[in-house]
Parts: sequence; C-alpha cells; structure tokens
Amino acid sequence: MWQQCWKHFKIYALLIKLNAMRQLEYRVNIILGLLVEIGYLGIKLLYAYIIHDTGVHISGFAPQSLYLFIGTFILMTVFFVAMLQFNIMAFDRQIIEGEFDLILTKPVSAQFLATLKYVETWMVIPNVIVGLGLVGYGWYASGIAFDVLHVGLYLLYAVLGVLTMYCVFTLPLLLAFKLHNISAFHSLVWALWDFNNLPHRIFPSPIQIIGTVFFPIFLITNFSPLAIMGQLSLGEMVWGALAPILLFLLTCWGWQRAISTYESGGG
Amino acid sequence: MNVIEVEGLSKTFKFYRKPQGLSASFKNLWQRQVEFKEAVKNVSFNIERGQVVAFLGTNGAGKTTTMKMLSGILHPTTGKVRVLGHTPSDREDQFKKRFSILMGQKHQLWPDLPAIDSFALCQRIYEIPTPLFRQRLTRLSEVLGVSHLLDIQVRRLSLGERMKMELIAALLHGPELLFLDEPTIGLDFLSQRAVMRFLQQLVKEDNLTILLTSHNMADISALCERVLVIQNGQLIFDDCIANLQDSLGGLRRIHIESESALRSELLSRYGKVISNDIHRAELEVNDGVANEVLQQLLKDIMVKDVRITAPPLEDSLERLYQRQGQVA
Repeated sequence: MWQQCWKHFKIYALLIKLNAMRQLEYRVNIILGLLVEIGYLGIKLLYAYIIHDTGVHISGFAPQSLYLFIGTFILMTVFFVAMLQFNIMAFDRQIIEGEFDLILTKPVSAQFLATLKYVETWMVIPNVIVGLGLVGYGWYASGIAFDVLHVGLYLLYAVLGVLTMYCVFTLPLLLAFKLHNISAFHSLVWALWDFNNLPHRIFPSPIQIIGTVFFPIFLITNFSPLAIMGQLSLGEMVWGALAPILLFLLTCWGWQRAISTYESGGG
Repeated sequence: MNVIEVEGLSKTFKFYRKPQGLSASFKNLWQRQVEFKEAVKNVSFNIERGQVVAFLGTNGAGKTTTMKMLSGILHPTTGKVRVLGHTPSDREDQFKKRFSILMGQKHQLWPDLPAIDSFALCQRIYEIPTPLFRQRLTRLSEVLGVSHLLDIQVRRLSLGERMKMELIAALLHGPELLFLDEPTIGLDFLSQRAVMRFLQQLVKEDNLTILLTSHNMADISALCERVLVIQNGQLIFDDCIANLQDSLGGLRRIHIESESALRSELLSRYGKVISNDIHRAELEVNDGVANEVLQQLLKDIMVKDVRITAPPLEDSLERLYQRQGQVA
C-alpha cells in the first residue's frame, strides 16, 4: 500500500511539473491571470480590512483573529483552485467524450488520474503569499504560541481540510457516470465554497450542524484556526479527524461502484 | 498458447430515443422511451501469442465495444473473457502493464508539451527503469523516424507525426498485446505505410500479438494473417484472409493489357467485366476456370500483359455482408 502511495505521490509531483511547463507555454495568459488574481485578492483584503477597522467582534472572535480565518480560507482556495477546479470542470467532458477510456487502461488509480490530472500552478502564487501573510499576522496578533504543538495542530487540520475538500467536491462528480452532463453542479460548487469565507460560528446552529456533520464543508477551512485558538471541543476535534477519513473511504467506495457501470462514450 | 480467450461474450447498452422537435424534448423531460441495444452478441474466439488479427466490420458492428471489453474499459453483460491470463474487467495493474490500446481518435499525449514530456509521464506510470526507457525510446523513435521531433510541441506536429508519437507512448512499457482501433485514421498514405511497416517490424522482432480494427484494407492485407468479421454484434467469419476469399466462391481477377482495343461485349464472354478502359481490362472469373479462361484469352486477344490476382478484400467483405443480408 505504501509503495502505491509513493508511486502516486511521484506521479503527482510530475503532474505538477508538467502542468507548470504547459502553462508557461502561454506567457500572456499567465500574466493576465496573475493580474486578475491580484485584483480579486485586493477586494478580499479590502473587505478584511473593513471588518478589522470596525473593531467589531463577530461571534466572539476578535477582529485580528478573523485574519487567521480569512488567511486560511485564501490558502485553502489555493488548494481548491490548484488541485480541483480544472479537474471538476473537465470531468464530465472526459466521460461524455470517452477520454476516460484511456485513463482506465493505465496501471494507476483511475480516480487519482481523472480527478487530479490538471494542476493550476502559477496563478495561485499571489494567493499563497497573501494567505501565508494573513495567517502569520492573525497568528501573531491573536497571541497564539508559535510552537511545534500549535503549528502541528494547524497543519494536521489543514491537511484534513484538504482531504475533506477533495471528497466533498469529488463525491458529486460521480453523478457524471450516471447523468453525463453535470455542468449545473459547478455553480453549486462555487456557491458552497463561499460558505467558508468566514468562521462557521456566525451561522445559525442548524446550518453549523449540517455543514459540520452531514455535508462537512465547514471542516475545510474552519477547524485549523479554531484548533490553535483552543475553540474546538473534544468532540469536534475527534470528528474533525475522523470525518475526512470516513469521507475519503466513502469517496473511494463510490468511485469503484461508479466505474463498474461505466459505459464509455465517444465511440 | 492463447493470449485472448473469449466465450459467449455479449454487451447490451441502454439508450433512449428522442423524436424530432421541441415538444418531444419537453416530453423527454419526464418520460423517456428506453430501449436496449445488443452491441455484441454471443461472440467467441481465441487468439494465440504472436498472431496479428484484423477485426473487421461496418460502423456500429461491435468492433470497438468488443475491444473495450478485452481491454477492461467495459464490463461484459454476459460471457467470459481471459486476456493474458487475467479477467480484463478486474482492471488489475499487473494486467494493464502487459497490454496497450491505441485508439485513432483518442490521444494520451499532452498537446501543449513536447512528446518527450508525455513519455516521461508514461515512464512514471508504468514504472519503467530509466536505462530501459531510454533504450526503448531511442529504438522506437529511430525506427519511426521521429527522433528529431521529440522536443517539439505535440500540437505543432502533423497528424502522421502525432500518431507515431502516440504509438511510441503505447509501446514504451513493452506490451505483449496491442489493441489498435483504427490507428491510421486520417493519415495520408505515406504515413499509413510507415506505421504499418513499423508494426510489421515490431511483430517480427518482439513477437507482439495485435488485434487491429481498420477500415483501410491495405492495412489489413499488409499486416494481418487472420480476419475476424463482426456484423450486427455477431461474429460471422473467423479465418485467414485467403480463406475469406475462397469461402465466398473462390473468385479470381484477370488483369489484361492489350495494344489493340478491348471490347466489353467480347470480354463478357469470358467472365464478369469489372473495368475496361480500352487497353486495360479486369475480369472476374471462378477460381476453377481461371486457367482455362486465361488460355482462351491468350488465343483470342493480342495480349501485352496479363496477371491473375485474388479479388480485393473490400469486395470479399462486401459479398460476405451481402450473404448475411446486411448491406445498405
């Protein structure tokens, strides 16, 4: 099993490199894309600054700690855009046009190749820089100790958040095997993603429960800052660690069932 | 030793009809007329190691569906398939490392990158040791004459060059079995010949087993010793090419060239006139009387050149389909 994980890790590293090289072939596109990203970031930062400047505590969170949430959200957006966005957009086309046929004949996990083949590289750089900066500032301004325990806790829940994000957005893709065209689903994905913009504690408790337990979208960006702020209960900490693993197993099981009925397309 | 064993293989697809017009589209929103199509019906055959087999049939006959079941892309509805000792639908990695499939209309190379970068991905996916990878890449690219194109973006290559690169990508891991689904589609005749010559060499040197679908009879005649013909999902012929022609009544073509004008009325006494352009004519006669007819022709006509050939494969196939009552 570890051998397989290592093999897939090495392939993913090469995929990142190939995608970076592919994108470098289009210089103007990279520059324009970076400018658009910087523009979006400017709007997000302005919005964060206004919240900070008003000095209002939101759901018990001090303004400076909100930077921790917004920074984490921006970093998770990096993973979302880099790892998932373009694969989600290309997924149903692969099924309809039969490109998935070739993926199925490769001695590698078809789920891995079909859902992680495309990686966005250069355009996420501004988000990485600003996200890290905001997390750093929020961390410092909130007076959280910068030690192994806290950094480890933050990274652990961040990794689990990425895993949750992968599952939450991959599971509905399986519908493409049955329904073929799932373009309407893409709009839903972007709408759901924006729920993570602020701490989930600002939502009414039924929404918090739904978003944490039944459709655990809040686990993606909220748990890592909450964990280092000491705001997670023991039950939430356990659920935050368990849910991503259960979700991942569910995704793999669903994937196996979906591809067993794959009927191929495109002749 | 059999590389492919197929017994009673069938595949049924579900589909629905959508009559013409907007009202039918609205009606389809809540009620769809579901139908089933048996794309492959009870097909059985075996292929031995080292054989090069053509899989022929008209569009929609079931060739590609069968090939997809043999390569594990599709699960059969019923029937048994063993390929290289594996059940393809189990999709085991060990099985996938032993075969390759090349589909003329589906590509695995990254268009924005030079082919060499896509080959590096193949190396990692198939876990090919670097010295072996280099050795195979050098050999394949030299034989196909594309060594100088390895560092050019794939989308900037011609169709023929791209297909050669796709072939290299399909062969880098050293497969024992190759499924080729219309590999020369869209290629000019020079590229077609280059690909076919390369495959011939590969079969000779590497004892590769090939199952090939193509609508190009020149490909088939050049490469294949055996033909499987499928029509409406059923296997209607399985034998060598010569026997396909013989089984349909054993016809021969007599090609005559004369300095004097050839008259069709006169020629039709000897056999069916296939073509006549005054000085060159082609007659179709039964195999049993071909020599007799030839002697008579030599006596009656001032012949400059003459030769006897088997009818083209296309004609034999057309007659086979006619016999099955399935020609449009």
